[in-house]
Amino acid sequence: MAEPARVANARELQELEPYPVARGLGDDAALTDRLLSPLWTRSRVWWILFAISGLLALLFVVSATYTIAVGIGAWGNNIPVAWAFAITDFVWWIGIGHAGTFISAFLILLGQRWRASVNRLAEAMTLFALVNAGMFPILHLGRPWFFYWLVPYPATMKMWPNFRSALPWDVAAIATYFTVSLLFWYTGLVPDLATARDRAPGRVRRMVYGAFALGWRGAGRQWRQYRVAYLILAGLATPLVISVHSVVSLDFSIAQLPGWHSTIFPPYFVVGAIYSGLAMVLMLMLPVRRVFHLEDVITRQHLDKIAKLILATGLMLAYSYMCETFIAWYSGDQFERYTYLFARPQGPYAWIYWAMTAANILTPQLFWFRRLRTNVVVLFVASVLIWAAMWAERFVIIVTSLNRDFLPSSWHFYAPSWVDWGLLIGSIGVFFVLFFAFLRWVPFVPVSEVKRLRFETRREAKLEEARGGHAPPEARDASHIRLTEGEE
Amino acid sequence: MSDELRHGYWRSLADLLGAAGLREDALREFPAGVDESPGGMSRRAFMKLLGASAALAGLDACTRAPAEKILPYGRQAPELTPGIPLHYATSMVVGGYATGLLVESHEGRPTKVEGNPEHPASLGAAGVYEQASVLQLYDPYRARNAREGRTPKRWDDFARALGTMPGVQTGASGAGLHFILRPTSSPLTATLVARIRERYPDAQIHFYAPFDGRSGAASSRALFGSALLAQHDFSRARVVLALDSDFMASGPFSLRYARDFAGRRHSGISRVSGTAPGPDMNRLYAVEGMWSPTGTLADHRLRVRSGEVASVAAAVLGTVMKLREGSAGSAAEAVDGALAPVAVDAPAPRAWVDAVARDLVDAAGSGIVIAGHEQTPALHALASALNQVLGNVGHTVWYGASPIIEHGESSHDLAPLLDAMRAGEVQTLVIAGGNPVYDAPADLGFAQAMKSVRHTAYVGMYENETAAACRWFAPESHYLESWGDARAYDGTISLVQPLIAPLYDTRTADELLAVFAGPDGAGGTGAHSLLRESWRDRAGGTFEERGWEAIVGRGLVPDTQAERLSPSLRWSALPSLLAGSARRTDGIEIVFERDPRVYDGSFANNVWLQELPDPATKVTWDNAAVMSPATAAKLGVSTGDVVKISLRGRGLRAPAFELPGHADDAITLRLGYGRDGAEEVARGVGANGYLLRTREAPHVDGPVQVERVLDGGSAERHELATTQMHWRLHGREIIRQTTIDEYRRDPDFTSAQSARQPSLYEPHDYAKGDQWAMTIDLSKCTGCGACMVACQAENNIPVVGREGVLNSREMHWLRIDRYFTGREDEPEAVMQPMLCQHCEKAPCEYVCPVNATVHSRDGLNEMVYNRCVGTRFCSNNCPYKVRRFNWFDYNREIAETVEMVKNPDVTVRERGVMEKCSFCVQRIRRAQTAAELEGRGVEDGEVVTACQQACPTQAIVFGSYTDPDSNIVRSLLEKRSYTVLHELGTSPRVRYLARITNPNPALEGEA
Repeated sequence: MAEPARVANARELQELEPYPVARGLGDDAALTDRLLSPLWTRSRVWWILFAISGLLALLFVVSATYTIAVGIGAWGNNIPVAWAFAITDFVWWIGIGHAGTFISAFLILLGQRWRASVNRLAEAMTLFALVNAGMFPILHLGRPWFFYWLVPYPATMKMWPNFRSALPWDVAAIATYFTVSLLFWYTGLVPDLATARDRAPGRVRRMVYGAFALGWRGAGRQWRQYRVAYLILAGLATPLVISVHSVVSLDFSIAQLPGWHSTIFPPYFVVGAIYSGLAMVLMLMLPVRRVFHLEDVITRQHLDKIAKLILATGLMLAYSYMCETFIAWYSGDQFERYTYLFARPQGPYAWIYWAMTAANILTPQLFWFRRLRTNVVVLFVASVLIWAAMWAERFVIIVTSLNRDFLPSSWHFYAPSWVDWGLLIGSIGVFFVLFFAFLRWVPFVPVSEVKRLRFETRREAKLEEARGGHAPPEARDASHIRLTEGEE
Repeated sequence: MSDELRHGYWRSLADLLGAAGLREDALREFPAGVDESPGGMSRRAFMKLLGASAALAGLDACTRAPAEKILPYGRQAPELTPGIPLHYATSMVVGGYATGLLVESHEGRPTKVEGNPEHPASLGAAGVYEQASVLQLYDPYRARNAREGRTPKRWDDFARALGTMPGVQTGASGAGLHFILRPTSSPLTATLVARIRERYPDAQIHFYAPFDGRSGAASSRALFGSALLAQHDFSRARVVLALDSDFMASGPFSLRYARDFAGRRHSGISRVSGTAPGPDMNRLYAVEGMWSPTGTLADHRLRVRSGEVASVAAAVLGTVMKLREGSAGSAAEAVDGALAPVAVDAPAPRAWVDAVARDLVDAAGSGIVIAGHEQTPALHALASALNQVLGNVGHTVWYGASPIIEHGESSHDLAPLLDAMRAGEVQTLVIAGGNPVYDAPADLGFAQAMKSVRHTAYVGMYENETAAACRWFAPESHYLESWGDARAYDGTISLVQPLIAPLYDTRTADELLAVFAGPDGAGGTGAHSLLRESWRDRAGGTFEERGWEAIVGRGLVPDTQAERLSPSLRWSALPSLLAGSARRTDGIEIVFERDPRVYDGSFANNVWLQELPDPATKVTWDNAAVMSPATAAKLGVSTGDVVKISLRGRGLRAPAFELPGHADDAITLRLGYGRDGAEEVARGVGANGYLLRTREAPHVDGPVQVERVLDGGSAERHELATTQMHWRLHGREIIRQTTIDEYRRDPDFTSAQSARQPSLYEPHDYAKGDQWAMTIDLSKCTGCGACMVACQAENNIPVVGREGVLNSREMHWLRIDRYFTGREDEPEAVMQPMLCQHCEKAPCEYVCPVNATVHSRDGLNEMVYNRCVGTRFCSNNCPYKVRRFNWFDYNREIAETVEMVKNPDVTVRERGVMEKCSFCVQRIRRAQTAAELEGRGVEDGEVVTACQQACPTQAIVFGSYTDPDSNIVRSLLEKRSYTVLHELGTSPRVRYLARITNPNPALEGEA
């Protein structure tokens, strides 16, 4: 029974993707030119998009400056809702930042070589999301100029941060994550920067790329050491994917506030983070793939796999929602019950709660169907929905828990001010300024890795052929080819 | 001497009188604490003034009396040690009655008002107005100089000009000369008035204030033949019937009454607790339309329209007469006839009336029936009759001569003055204080009539509505800058002693009168010598300096209270008093109430008071048309809808407010809002109820027409800035209460909420040294708000303005939560002061990333402002939500005069840091330092927190529980003590004593 099904499945795949990656792009030199061409071409569309992002980023600058000049009073926050938009934005961005490392590091260790085409973009997204995520907690301080007090440094007063609080750990986790992500991204970039150096038209660009390429010559020894370093960094980054958002979740779960005080938070937050990050990867990748005609590099198989990951993480998230609500009811605690059974589903923010629950649980259910997993329009709409709904999820967790807690006398509504909106929308602008700059000046598809992936898949196909008969369909599926030194 | 000052003044006066843009500026609703300062007096100028006024005093004898020695409160060291504040006794006069105070002075700068423990009207407590009065002294919007028309003048010019006005010139008889004074009890003022009358026999002196307690005087005139005021001893009263009377939170003797009532209540409860023997618990019945602090404490509150309270009283009286048949004698017949018109349609359930009557009869001789201060003479007469019949008079109730000069006489009526004004007989009108243009009865048309008077002069603290209507204006001194005297409600003579030289060119009202009374008709003499002189006269010329020092130092003259009288009641006068008083309004009645925050409007420019939530509605920065939800539903309005209230052709707009427990078919409107003077804080805040209030019906009127105001099809809205949006308890055991009988049966009913929660960790040892703790007795808290203002003054708490309160950013370290329980149509109200609970296992502490909130060895949850970076995580994790955040830099742009009110012992917080109740740590440390220097421990009662000190009912007890004989230990050991949110295991150091009520078993199941 299983065999015919598999064959049908394989056949369908074959129709979908006769060759895994970079088919029909000529030899390696042509492929390289093709992948590096965005670096050398000027584009009016790029300028327009960059300018729009720049304006939005300016909105961020204005809002942030106003906040620092006037005080947190510029926002809509109050007592009881002392945390609101800014922390929502923070958690949202840092969650988005999880997908890049997940795709790069996690999948390397799991031998998922298809990641090669998309990892650079995903990693860049991680970095830029982290830049945003890092700004919010500092802006959020009442006295942001003392943010460094959260860092354990040997002060003359011998004052240390309070290690019982999650926040210093948060700072440490984010700083570590940012450092490792940056190194990981940059390390992966070095061979491509060297390629760009070699191919750059004009002396200035050659010098700039040359400087960043750190003297890469492409020697076998360099490649060997590079691969080791890259794997080590992948090994370092992987636990961070788990730990960072776990620590972020502790910002909430160590509090005794109903709606925050929950042991499920670390895995729940990690899953949610990867879920939202994958959605944003898709959201960015689909237009890039289209605009730069990269359908052969970022294939429908890639889309299919990311959609599957979204479905998987979405189901875990749905489980978390149910579990959280069930435990609140099962605990018998009146405050927990009130938050989960009244304040959220029936309270003043009920519409956000229901909209986000529906969007987060129902949208990934589309991806049970392959046709939808590879439908670009569906993917894009779904990813935007999830991207926004995950922001709403953090809003619901933060604001609906705070606005109705223990003593009804202090319950109060929260409404954002223009500065809150300015920071949220502006941070998206900041992201895209960085992202468009990245598209313009950095090889956003890892040239060397794509070439290697193509080489390996072809070789393995040939080997299979030589072993007799035609290659099994799995051989053409890049994901089945292991990526370890020993087997090469 | 004060060029700089005068320069600032000229500029602001020019703005005030001339600039068209001023109104727009003034419409901004920012309080002084947030707004920029209007070119105020600099600290340097202030110091110069202080020094110069002392130096010049000796030279310039025409304008200043010789150096006037003011005296510190007797128990303090007479020498001033820098850094150690001194306390001086003085008195504040509200409504003509004095309350004795002790004012804290830091190097000559008064910063904090406390009650004078020796004064009978205070006993150490201080109410909302007294607490906030110190801010008024430094109010940057106070008037600073005299003027004629728009031309700035000096006070002396003003005094000289007065001498040239018609009726005043040398040789004039005073014809055409009229005065309007505030009702006063001051012996000095009485002397001056007598001297003016002697000198100008044809001059007319009128007294006016919107709340003058005339009804009580009128009733006693009819019943007893002279103006007597009922005095009560609540410490001996077993059953109390309050007829629309908020005797515990408003009125001249409320601080005393609250103390006595609560003391009796507490000893009744603690007898069951086993902590102290005491008499039986008292029982309080309240009949009222609007929630008053007294009503919230009642064991049985009958929700009745104010206009029908007299009917309830009549029904009770009728029943009491029946029950006491035989002993009443001749009274019975008189009463029978008199009650007939009143008792019809009694709105009270028969069972209620019967039960109350029986209870009163059972407690004959130890009961009190008290009528509301502003209620009708009929109700006062009914209360007197009830007390008489019940034999309470001479025991718990007695009468004393009213300390108010000419109380209830025709001079207290403005109508004859208005007639004279309209007839053109008034040539010179001198108004000393008050604000009659704003608050005179609407039907008198006072403002209009003022225009026909050629010579008008006004002395007041602000350029208010009355000042704007007068040609001459001169600024009046604040009481903390004044010498004077007044009587307390019981007649005790109280001294007003200045704490500071006048900040501006101001005089007191007595100094104004001296201009007329003085030998030469101009110039006058300083209030200090006036006072000394009048005292010397009274003491027969042998008054010695030592005696003077003793009374000024103590703030009062002992044994000067009115003689206790038990006059026989003229029953024959009762029918005429009651006749026509049965006004039952068909439709909706309107009740004009004095505001618990701005009084009659005279404190409307005080930002502390504007931001103090109304005890009943929790509304700040506004008044509202308060009505019951049923009435609102009938009218088709909800909270925040603007309604137009029309009464006999006059109308006003005010936002509606639904208040559970308010009487149906009635609207309560607090007075004192809708101001239109140059008081920039007060202007435009709320609706002016005086526009509807008439001479005939100053308390209750109607029927009014109420309709929703439409704004282009949809209802016009005005959001009310309330500090509490939710009043249901949602089944949470935040408030514990039970009846005294239940408590007797099950004294351990709170034990589940008081034992220590189990923990995996070894508990921290909090047994050594001082260990601070507090209890708050919910059986005693009336929710009056005195503690909130006291805390604000003590701890330099900023105000945030209406916008801030709308977004729940008020900064009060101590708030009073008000919950309604029971049936929604007949709810009970419970007040719960909520402040930092100083949890031993504080949730705020472990989440702070920078150790900015930590625990002290003596059990304080400390806030280290310098270390705080403002993550606000502590607030999120505080289950009591008592932490406050400095959203803006609230202290950056306050007027320099307002800087002077800051307590130098308490840090002024900067933007971006958290703050919260510190248990008045500055007071703790001061006491500890003093004790250490003397080589002893801190004694019980040595540390008193600001809230505890202000509390009229002594609901708050504070101290160290390591002292086994302390009050706090006794209080903590009360069986009914519990901690709020005990299940969270926070181990608070603040414990609440469950509310114990004493309902009448005969009214089981009734409200």
